[in-house]
Amino acid sequence: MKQLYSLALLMMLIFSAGSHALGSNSDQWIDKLDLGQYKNKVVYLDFWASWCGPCRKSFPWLNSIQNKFEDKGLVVIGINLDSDFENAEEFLQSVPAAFTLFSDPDAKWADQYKLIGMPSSFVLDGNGEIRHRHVGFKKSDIDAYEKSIVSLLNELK
Amino acid sequence: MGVTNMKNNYRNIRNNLKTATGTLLGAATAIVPISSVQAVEASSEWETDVAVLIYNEADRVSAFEPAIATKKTFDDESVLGFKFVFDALTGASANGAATSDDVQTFTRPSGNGEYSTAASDTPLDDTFRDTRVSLTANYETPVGRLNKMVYGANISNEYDFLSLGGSATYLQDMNERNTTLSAGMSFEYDSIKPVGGKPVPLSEMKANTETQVRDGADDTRIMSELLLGITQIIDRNTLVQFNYGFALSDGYHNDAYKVTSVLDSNGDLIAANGLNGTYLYENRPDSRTKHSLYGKIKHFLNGDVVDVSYRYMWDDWEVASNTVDFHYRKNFSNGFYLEPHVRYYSQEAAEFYQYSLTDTEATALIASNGNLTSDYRLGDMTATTLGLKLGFLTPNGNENSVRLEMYTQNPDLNESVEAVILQYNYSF
Amino acid sequence: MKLDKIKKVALVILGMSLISACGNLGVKPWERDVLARDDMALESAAMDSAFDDHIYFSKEASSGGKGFGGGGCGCN
Repeated sequence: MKQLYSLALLMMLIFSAGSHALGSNSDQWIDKLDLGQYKNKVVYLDFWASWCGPCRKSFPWLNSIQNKFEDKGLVVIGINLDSDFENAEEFLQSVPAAFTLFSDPDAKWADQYKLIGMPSSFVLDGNGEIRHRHVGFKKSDIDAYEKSIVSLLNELK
Repeated sequence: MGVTNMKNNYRNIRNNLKTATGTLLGAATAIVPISSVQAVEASSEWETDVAVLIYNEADRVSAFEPAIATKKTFDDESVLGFKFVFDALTGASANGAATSDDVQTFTRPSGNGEYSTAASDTPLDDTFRDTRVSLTANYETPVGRLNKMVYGANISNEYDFLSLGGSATYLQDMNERNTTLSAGMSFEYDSIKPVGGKPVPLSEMKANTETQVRDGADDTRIMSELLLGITQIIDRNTLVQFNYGFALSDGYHNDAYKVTSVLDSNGDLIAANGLNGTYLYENRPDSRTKHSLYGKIKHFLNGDVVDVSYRYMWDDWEVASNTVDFHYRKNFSNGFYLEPHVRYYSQEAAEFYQYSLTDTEATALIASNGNLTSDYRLGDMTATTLGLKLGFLTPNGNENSVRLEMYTQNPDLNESVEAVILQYNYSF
Repeated sequence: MKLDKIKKVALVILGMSLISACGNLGVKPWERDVLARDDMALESAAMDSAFDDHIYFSKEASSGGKGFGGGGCGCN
């Protein structure tokens, strides 16, 4: 039964990649965010919202690093700050995300991380320490972002 | 149903799928980048707005103005934009002369031919016809994360007028980007080449059978402006803007086609120069210093947008004006909206504005080479605009809007002017 | 008359300084959902404003104050 389910879902994911269903069909939303469970992983925290233009631009890249570095121990977590969850859902229909998502409508995490702009990204090393951060997203800075991730991945034992 | 409930239901569905997806995430990610990259690239193309405006005054000027503006936002958040406007004007405009109980005859600006105005009608010069072409380029570039520069350049050309301009504005964000300060400078160079040449200021209009001595063929004007602004976000739904503007203008300010009637002590025409009236060409000062204060509030009110602005402007011609502008955008679903618009404007006349002069006043003014205009646009006046805009999306999601406005000018001493403005916008 | 103008200027300057003094006005970076809307942009209908500026510039004795538009005309 489980396998059938998986197969059906796989088909769905494959065939919906070019259309609109992907964002709302995958199981990416976690109910609780506990960074402690990511020991020995490099965590890329990305704070985003549906109304933020550069966030839209960053998603394809976030998808690609999740894909590229997952085996090496990278976990991308997109923390959504829409106060209205529907808006996040709508956004994901046109800009699918292939990484873990967490909804923070009351901006508790955003407050704790003292964001100064959107999107804001934090790269945490294997010990959960914040090692890199950046605000905004520019394609021209992708190399730098990736370098910081790779260096932390290399530190993992 | 509350959003939270929906979200929870949603999560329940997701939880049911949880086991299934765990192993599939890898497969999914392999596919995703392709489609999403395409989506992003599509959104970073040129954004274009096209519009057509029809402006029509009852019995006077009509204008037909198509315009196209396009812009592109680059990866570094710089924005490049261009705009092209074409403007075809025809019709009659008030020449400044007073209405009379008698028929009046005027020489056309070119000096070739004449036109007449019936008794008690506002004298209108019906030779007015022009085509304007205007090209604007804008470039916005970030300096750091919290500041940027905006540059503008424009050229505008019509039959008797050429304008070249440039501007540079610096914007600085502060207070967590809740406050933006801006400082901008602009320059404009105008070259004016009136049809028939420049009239000698305060000289009398002559019949086309006589020789009108001219004061050269063309002239120039240079303008510079400083604009200081502050934009402040008040709360999640409200922002305000204040600007102070200071503008200096030097050079030729006359409207070469405007005259002032000189009347006798009974208010009757004085025949002269082969015409049945006496008309002096206007004489505006050769410089103007303007100040303006501008404030605007935008507020999001239960899904709608309220936009109120006010401008107070004053200058050393002693023109002072108040402008209040109000828009209420009522948003409906699917991008449909209705937006009523009300504008109220009032101005105090330039100190050298005269509806007409008596013989003695004219003699004294000429002797002292005083300033003079009878252009109603520099007289006491109020004006109102009432409009309604309707916006909607095409099936493919592009924005459209149509607006219809009535603009009424009520000059104190002159006939009122009513205009209808119809505009269509399309964005893609 | 002149005094009136000075008073108005003083009032606006006072207003401006009050606003800049209030550092606690405003929103957090993640609270810009409404402000990010197209219809909440300061210049949300640029085409309309540019047409209007041109019309009123050529029909009235006042112009400008909002920002830098392009190109005057010989009509005033």
